[in-house]
Amino acid sequence: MSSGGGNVARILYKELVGGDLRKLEAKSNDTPSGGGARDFRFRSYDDLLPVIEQMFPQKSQEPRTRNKQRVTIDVLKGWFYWQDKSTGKVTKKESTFEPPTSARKGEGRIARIHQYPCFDAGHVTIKQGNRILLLLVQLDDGSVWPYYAEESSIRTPGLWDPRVARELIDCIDAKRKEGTAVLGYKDFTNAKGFCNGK
Amino acid sequence: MASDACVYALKLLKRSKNVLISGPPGTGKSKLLAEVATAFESAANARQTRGGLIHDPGGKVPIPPSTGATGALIPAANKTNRKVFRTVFHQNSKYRDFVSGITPSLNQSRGSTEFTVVKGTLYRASEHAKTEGGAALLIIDEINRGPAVQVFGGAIVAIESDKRLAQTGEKRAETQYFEILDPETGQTIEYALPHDLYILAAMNQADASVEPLDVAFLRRWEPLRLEPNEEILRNYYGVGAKDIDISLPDQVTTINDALEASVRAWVSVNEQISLGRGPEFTIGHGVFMSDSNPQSMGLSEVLVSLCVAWSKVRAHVEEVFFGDIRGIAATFNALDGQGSNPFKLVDTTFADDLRFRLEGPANFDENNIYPALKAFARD
Repeated sequence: MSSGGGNVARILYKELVGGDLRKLEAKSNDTPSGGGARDFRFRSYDDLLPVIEQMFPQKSQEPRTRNKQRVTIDVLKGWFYWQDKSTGKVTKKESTFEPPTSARKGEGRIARIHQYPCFDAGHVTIKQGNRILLLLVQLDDGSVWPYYAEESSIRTPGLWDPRVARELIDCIDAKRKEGTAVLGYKDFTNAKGFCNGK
Repeated sequence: MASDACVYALKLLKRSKNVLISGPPGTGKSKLLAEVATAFESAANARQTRGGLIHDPGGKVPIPPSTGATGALIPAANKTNRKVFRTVFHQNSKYRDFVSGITPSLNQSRGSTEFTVVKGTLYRASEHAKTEGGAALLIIDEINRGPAVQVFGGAIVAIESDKRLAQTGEKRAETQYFEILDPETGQTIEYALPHDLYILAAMNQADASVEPLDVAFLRRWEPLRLEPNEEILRNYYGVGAKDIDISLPDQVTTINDALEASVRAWVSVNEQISLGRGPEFTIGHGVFMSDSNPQSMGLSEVLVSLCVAWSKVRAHVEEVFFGDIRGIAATFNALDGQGSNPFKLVDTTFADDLRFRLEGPANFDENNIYPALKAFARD
């Protein structure tokens, strides 16, 4: 199992919005019933696919209901790794990335996020002027490590590796339509990248 | 791990500050620009470009700055505020866009100035390199697709490494100043370029639509030439080194038959282009390469991908030998009409003059691509 020390191969990031935090608390976006999908959604699925396929490298055929019909779809699978903050022990759990549905074209999602302790957002608060990014870090050994990164931390000189900080800041600062969450990736093995702003 | 070409480019940049990459299309110029940009921003040793990008799962942040030794190869490795600036020259590139100049001020309110002084790419890179701990790499792709000498203007002399400001930012005896319109004040000022501004440019000498660069301009750059590389293509194809004792079979039965034929045909076509037009008109290995692994494909899929790549080679040869049908025929080994070759040079007369015509399929397909490659390879 990966120990977590090693070279970073690529990162995938997405800005969290209020609805994402409610999902983590297993609350619905718009009803008090607690229903609704608990997942992190990624728009621009086709643009992100080069890194999604590397971070979730296995394909699994799984039954789903689409338009009230039972169908079999290809779901991407991998493993999330994280270090327990109190014990320092590294833990892993199988991860799932679901491709777009016909109802939400171009939008993939990491499913069942509330089942992963690594996505615990108890200490995360979204404030004006301090965006929170979900950051998936993949190492050379293939392991994927999820984190939350605060904009203020990323902008603090000398705290982050400058290559990573520059990539994230450039994308945060890029022009995009109001209400659009920051989204992108950088593959340091081939210098390819994507940012949903200009 | 940085490639040898990347390491070499970094060495040249460190030594001369201005490096000009040239080479035929498909030899990896743009890929090298991207690789050098990543290595420059990393400020780590080029041999371990990502070696400095360390994950720390128990740390304050997951990817802290590298504590490893800064590289001996990276220019200005001790500078922490590093930035890459990029531009592409084209027929409409202007001095104003690259250095500074006056442009109409859009959306101005009533009574405000109607013109503004723009900060060009060179100016912005230069100003960044003048900041505390600053270093800038300016990447110029397709440098000869625009009027490069005009675009550089007075900066042409000042870019030379021994004409820059001192590392401290102070004037040296050799520092070359040139006049620019100051974007801050709108006044004409004397300006010099900083020590830690590095310029990496790329050009394709053989393109018919590009502008020639004059010798005085070229003299100010350290050249780095990229060549078509058979080993890179063989590694990508996964076919190993050429065995001269083994000829291509008459019929294609395995993907390796097809891939070996493609390599041999490409080498032979480039030899003919070099003879007929010169080595700068050859075509690089990159035209055959993609993100897909050929060894994981079936034979049919490989043949289809070869059709796509060889259509590009054919278009390139037709452009290089435009108006010279015999040159195209010689390149494709169609002068004497080898048995398997779907192309054949036919002579005829028109108004009592001898005329040539290259007869052959309009497009490559799964049935004709292998016989064509076997013929091109002169195997």
